Amino acid sequence: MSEPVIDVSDLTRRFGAKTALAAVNVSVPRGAVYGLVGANGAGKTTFIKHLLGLLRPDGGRVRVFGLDPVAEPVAVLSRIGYLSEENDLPGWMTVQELTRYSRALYPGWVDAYAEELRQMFALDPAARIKTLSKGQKARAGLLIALAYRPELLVLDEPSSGLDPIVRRDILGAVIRTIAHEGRTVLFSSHLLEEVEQVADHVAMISQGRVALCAPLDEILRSHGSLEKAFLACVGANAASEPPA
Amino acid sequence: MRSPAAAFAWEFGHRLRWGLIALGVYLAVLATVQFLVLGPRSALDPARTTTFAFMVLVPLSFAFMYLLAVFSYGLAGDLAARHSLYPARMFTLPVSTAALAGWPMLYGTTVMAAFWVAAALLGLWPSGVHAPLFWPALFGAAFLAWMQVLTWMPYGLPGMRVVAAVLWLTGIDAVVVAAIEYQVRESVMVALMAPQVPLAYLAARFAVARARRGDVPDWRGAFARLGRTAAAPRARGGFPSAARAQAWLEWRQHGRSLPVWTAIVLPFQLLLLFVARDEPAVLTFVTLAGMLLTPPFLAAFVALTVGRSSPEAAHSYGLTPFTATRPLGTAALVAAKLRMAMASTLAAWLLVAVALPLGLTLCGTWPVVLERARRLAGFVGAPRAVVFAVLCLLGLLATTWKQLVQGLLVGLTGREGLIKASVLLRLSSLILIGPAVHVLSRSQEARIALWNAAPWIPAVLVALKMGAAAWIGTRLSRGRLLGARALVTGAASWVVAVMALYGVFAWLLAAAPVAHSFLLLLAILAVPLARPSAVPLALAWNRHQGARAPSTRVRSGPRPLPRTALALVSMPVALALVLAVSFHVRNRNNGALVSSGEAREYLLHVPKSYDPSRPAPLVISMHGADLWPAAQMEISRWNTVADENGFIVVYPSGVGGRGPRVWRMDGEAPDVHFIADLIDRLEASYNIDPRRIYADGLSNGGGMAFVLSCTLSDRVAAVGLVASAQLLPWSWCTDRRPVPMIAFHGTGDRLAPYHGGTSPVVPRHPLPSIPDWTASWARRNGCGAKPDESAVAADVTRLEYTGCSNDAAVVLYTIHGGGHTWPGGGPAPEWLVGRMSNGVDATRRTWAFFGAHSLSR
Repeated sequence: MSEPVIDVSDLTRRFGAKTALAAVNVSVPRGAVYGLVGANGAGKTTFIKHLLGLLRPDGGRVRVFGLDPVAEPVAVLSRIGYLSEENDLPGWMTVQELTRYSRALYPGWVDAYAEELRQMFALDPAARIKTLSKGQKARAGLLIALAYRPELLVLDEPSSGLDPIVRRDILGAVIRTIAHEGRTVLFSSHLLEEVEQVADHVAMISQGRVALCAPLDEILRSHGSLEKAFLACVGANAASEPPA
Repeated sequence: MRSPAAAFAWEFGHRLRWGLIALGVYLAVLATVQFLVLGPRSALDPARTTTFAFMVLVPLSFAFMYLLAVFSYGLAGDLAARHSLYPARMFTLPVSTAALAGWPMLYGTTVMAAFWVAAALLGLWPSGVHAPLFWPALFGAAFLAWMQVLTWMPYGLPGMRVVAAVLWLTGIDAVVVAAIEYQVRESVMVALMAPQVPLAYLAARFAVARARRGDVPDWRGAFARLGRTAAAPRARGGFPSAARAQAWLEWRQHGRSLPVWTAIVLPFQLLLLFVARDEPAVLTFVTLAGMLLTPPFLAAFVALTVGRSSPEAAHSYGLTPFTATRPLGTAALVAAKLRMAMASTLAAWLLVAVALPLGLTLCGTWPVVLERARRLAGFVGAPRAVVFAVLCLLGLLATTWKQLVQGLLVGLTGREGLIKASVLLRLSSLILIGPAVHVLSRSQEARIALWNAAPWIPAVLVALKMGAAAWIGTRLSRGRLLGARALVTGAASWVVAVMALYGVFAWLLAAAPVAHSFLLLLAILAVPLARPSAVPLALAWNRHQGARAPSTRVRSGPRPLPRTALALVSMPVALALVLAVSFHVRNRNNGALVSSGEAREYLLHVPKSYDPSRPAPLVISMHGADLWPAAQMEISRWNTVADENGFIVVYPSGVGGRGPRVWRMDGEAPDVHFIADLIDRLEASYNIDPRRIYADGLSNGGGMAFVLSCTLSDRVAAVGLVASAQLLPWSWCTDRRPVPMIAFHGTGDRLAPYHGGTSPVVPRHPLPSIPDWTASWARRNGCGAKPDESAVAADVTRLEYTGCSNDAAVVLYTIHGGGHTWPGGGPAPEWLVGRMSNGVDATRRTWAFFGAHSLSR
């Protein structure tokens, strides 16, 4: 069996007195479409930041492509396509400037594929990022995350702010394409129907812990639907939380 | 909070709280210094421009610009952008446009006016600068109000805001400056300024209304008709490398800030230049100095924004995921920022390089500047003047870059508390410089303490710097942030820069009595090493947040700092140590005694031909101010003459550890006792002929020789004075015994003027005319009134008073055009002390004179 693309063992992270992640174990095999679900504030983004080297663990081990993302950020990040949940593309750039800048950073950049994506996403190359709608900004972010055909695509709440049609058509097509080419996708979401549509593995995070981690088929067999599984594993914990 | 007014007030207060606290602390410190420390009678004197500038003008300028930027929301975005800088998030509030424009303007103008009043009452009036209170407050308020209009207005073209700001604000400034020049009455000024704020309010309402409804004009299409298409993107090739791409991004994000701010400030300074053209030259030079200091001053202000990863994230001190997740190493990210800082520096200085000559040309003040340049060239020589000027300009350029990089170090940590503390510390140190300079100028004890510590201060700073650099280098190596090759290359580049700068210092100060180890330490301190090296650590701390865990240790274990890099950066330090030891060994004394309860030293030379059975003459040769026995030995070359003629020569040392080494002549005159004790010691140790003890000295040492002729006339047979500086009046000398005297003095001596007057080294003691002094001596010796004059060399005239009592002749050698030097002596820094003449050998002539005179028993 090939080495997992993402190998996280006993990952622990604290922010002051709050434990954001507690002994999280996740192993993402190559070629998988891995869904990370959880309520808002469960720790999904914190987990993803560890994969990108943006956070150092307080305990445990994080390996991506067998490498430590903190110690070797260039080697790891050059193989990851990342779409952030934050809207942080430089607003002053035009779409063309964004692609021109990104092209220089990724040796595997394919101009033809980038242009294909741009046309598919209907992005005006002269348009400034800050003038784009939220959906178009997400498409621009996807463009630069996909154009160099990364081995691992990490999407943090990719559907946040997108209308259902765009969500269904763009993300589903992209993820299926990447999965078919043997690349790996990890995406986080709290929209269960979306996860059920495209993922083949699911990890449910609740209050910083992995409540459930299994192939989607297995979850559907045991719980009937992802929502029921979520409510069973995560909802019970959420119900026991003190009101805000 | 129940009203928009309160909400606006709270928001401004909350955002400004640190700035207001800092401003409040500064004003409190200023008030304390002015009224309690200095007192009403000795407040900060505007004539002491440096102190006044650092204590009052610079902090007030900082505060003025800070208030301007904050109340106009100018820090919220790109000044060159087309859209309004008024925060768009506020357009959706249930507040009228009038209120959106009115409340920030009201609070801003009120704070600005109050700031002026406080500054005038606490900073200017106590210093005797009785600036009016009302119309400048109105002017400040109007300036801010129009700045708000200009930043809130949307524009049709990128960069138009900057142009409009420069033109409009320059216009206002021109009116005010003209009013000052023509001494317009305050009532007229008030009448001029008062309507400005209401007018600006109306314009601001229009601007905010326009921005609120998204009415941003777009005139780029008009320019497209000239052949440039704004809609279609211009075809551009790709970046050749990731590094170039990142450098481009950094320039676009931050690189324009410094040049833009410089472009805004320079026109006001050009106006000042215009006003100053008919004023005394000092005002022109103060304005020029201000222009030259503008980029480094503004760089300190801009520095912390350079560390941000996005200009739009106004309060974001961390890295955005977009930047942090680019496949670039931390070192590459930092390198891009450093390159951007250099490009930004060069762009700002390009503006100064264009504006300054243009301003001088338009104002017709070139002749003033050229005349001063000629005087400097005449003083130190044209090559030195040029190198000095180039060094100053390069130093200012480097300082500008350093300011930006220093801001990077703190800004890239991403820790808000650290960043704001750094700003507070910087402002505090700026405020403290003024009082520190003031205390030094008033307190002799403080000056002496500083003088004594001067050789050690750079040594301690270098030790700290090198220690920090070694620690940083180790962390960079262990964290694999920089490879061995990069570390070695960086270290080698630093060493080359240090040695080059040391070479320039050594050439500039050639033959000056300065330890070369000191120059090398200054060069080590001047070339940045530790702080730029620490920037990758700061960024890594920001990029990978959290405690270091065992899983993040590199597989091969921690790497030590490459030995090559360590050896390279140690080289200049080791060389400085060697130079210091060598200097100490070459210049150490070889004798000591206790006199008047003090430990005193001297350098003794006994010729090989000395025969204890035969009494030998003794020459006591005293060094000049701030020199030392070995230096006097090198300058006078008495040892050579002593070897040829078989006499002993001793070079006593002025007392050290109390500031510059000078001879103490008045009061208890402990140095007279020292010389007497020295003679006793030598008479006890050697066979000294008591009838043939002589004394001479250079500069301050010559003054001491005069004192010995008046206090030890029963022991000193004759004295010699070379470029002497007489600090005591002739009337002080009550001993009327005729003492033979030989003197040498150059007419071009700037430090002890031949015809008397003020010396730059002793500005409070006018020095006597040397011919008059010589004539007084001749009268004391009962010589004839008319001296014999003869030419000795092409540039040397000899004046001899004869017919004196006891044959105590008085001779003066005048070296025409000669400087503050020992004629025929060792090398001297002519750029500092003036021309050295070899037309006469002062030492040999003095010995010949001494040989002809002895004490009669």
